[in-house]
Amino acid sequence: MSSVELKNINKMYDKVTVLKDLNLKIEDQEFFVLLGPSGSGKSTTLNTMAGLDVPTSGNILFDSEDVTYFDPNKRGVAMVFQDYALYPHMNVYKNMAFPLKMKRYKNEYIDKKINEVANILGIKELLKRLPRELSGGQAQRVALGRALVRDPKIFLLDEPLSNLDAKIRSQIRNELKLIHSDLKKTFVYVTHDQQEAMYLGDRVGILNEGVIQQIGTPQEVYKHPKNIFVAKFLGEPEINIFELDKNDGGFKIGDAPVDGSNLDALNKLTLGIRPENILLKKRSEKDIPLKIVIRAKEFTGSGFILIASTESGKEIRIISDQANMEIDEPITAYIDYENSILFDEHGDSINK
Amino acid sequence: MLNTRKIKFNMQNIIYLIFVPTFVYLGIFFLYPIYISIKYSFTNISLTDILNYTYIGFSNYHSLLTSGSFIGSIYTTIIFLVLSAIIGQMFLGIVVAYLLSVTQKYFRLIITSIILVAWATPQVTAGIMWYSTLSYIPSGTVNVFLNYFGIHSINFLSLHLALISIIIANVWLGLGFSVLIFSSGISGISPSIIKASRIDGANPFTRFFKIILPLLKKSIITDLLLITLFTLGAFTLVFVMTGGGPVNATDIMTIYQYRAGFSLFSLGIANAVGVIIIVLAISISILYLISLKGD
Repeated sequence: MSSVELKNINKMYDKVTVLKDLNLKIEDQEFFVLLGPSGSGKSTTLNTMAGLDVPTSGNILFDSEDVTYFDPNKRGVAMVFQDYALYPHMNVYKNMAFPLKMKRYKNEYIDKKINEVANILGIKELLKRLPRELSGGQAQRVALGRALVRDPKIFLLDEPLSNLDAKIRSQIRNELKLIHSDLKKTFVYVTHDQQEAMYLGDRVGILNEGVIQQIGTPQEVYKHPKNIFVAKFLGEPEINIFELDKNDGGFKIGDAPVDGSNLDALNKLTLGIRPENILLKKRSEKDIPLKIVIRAKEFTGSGFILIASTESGKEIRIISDQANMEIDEPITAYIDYENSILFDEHGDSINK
Repeated sequence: MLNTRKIKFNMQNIIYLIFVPTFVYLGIFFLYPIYISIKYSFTNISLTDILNYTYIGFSNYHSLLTSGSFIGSIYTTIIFLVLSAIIGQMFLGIVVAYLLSVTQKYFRLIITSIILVAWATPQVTAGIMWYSTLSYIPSGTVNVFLNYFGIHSINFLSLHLALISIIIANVWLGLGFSVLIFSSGISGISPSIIKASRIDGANPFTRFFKIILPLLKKSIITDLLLITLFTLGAFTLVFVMTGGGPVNATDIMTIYQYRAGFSLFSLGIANAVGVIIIVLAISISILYLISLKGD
């Protein structure tokens, strides 16, 4: 059992506030992903969990035990870093043995444990090598191994895949997911890559400027973002945003009205529509027609990303599997109103 | 095509031309003096008559290496080197740099500046400062303090304490250089390695010996080489503080050399001492490089 709870965490460096009243509860055995752009405070959050940093105020609870001022080694956490952080002067075996030696385990136990983990990770042939003789993927496997040998209660991963190239990245990502389901331990994973977050996370917490924007399952935060920031941060290509002003008592995109029972009180409305929810054929009466001209096509393998512009010159992106689109031909596309997301003037999402 | 190649070829020649002043300078002020020094070390040249001299083979070296006072001088030099350079400046330098690296930025800046001031102080000034601090008659600063607390004055520059005193003074003088080298070495260690070692359960002591020290190997070699050469060539500070005395207590080789040349006027012996210092410096340097090689 090891849940993590952050209560009212504030963190200031000199006069710069990095974390603002952060509250977070990570359940036992959960794979929790902290997602945010650089400078959002996600690594700081992880460091406070690890004990590498002490929050200015607030408490950190592991299983309802207050560990806010505990040393890192007393917390039972293991950490994996973006730059692997292997000790350059020790070979792989010694790197993995280091945390166990610090805990004064017997050599036979250390040996057994390292071989066991090396087998799981497929790094058995590398044990005698020095870190500088490893490729990025191998180095990160070793770093994972160094975390695994300790049987920690909680794994903290600070952008572990960011330095790897695409192929190795998805491979190790899968392995991570499998390791998690085998070990049934609590994982906290920090990343700026929204795709990684959605692939890996049981739940995702989106952080911006030191404030948690939304916490939920990947589906929740993708389909029902709480605000424009979350909507824009998740999804590739980025969500299409239409900023609408009130004209003649209603909102319109082109000539088509945008209806909704909650909209009357608003002066400004923002409509977000994911690229896959702009249709090229009308499907329901509620769909909003939109006159567009397709400017370019990008082939993605399973389909196309169409780059188009509206009559008002706004650039939008559409995901489509149709190959026979003519470039520079005006056509009518349809915004799937059911799946569109509306935001009020503060950027918070509202019901239709 | 042909033209550009020609220009490139000429450019390369110009690059060699740029080196010429350096080599001329090194030749005139470095290689030639060494040659002269080696040549004179085999002669009986005297300061009283530098035009007439004869070659006497190895007899300068022979008389030096059979003289008790010169062997004593070599011992003194080695004690001075080991205690003041290797243990004092280098080891203390690493410790200070490490402690500074974990302190606050402004504190670090102030301490580093203070330590560096010592290094930038002219050695004659530093020597006079230390002399007036440690002086016995009249009482120097330290003895005034001791007297204030009711403790008898100590003659820091006496036969038994003088060597320790000049060692401490030389550590004070050279520490800044080592701290600077090791500070940059430590700041070159990736912060995540330090973080990882903390999470892996290494206390500050273990972290220093198992992680930081091995990673500073390159800095250690650089520092060790340079401060060894500095210390073997040290003269001013010791000369001002003790002049090699009392008796021969602080008679390091450079001071022995100075006395041979300018008190006994025997330039042949003085040059032989110089050659021995150079040979010693080169051998120690090679020893360092061999013992710290590997991996």
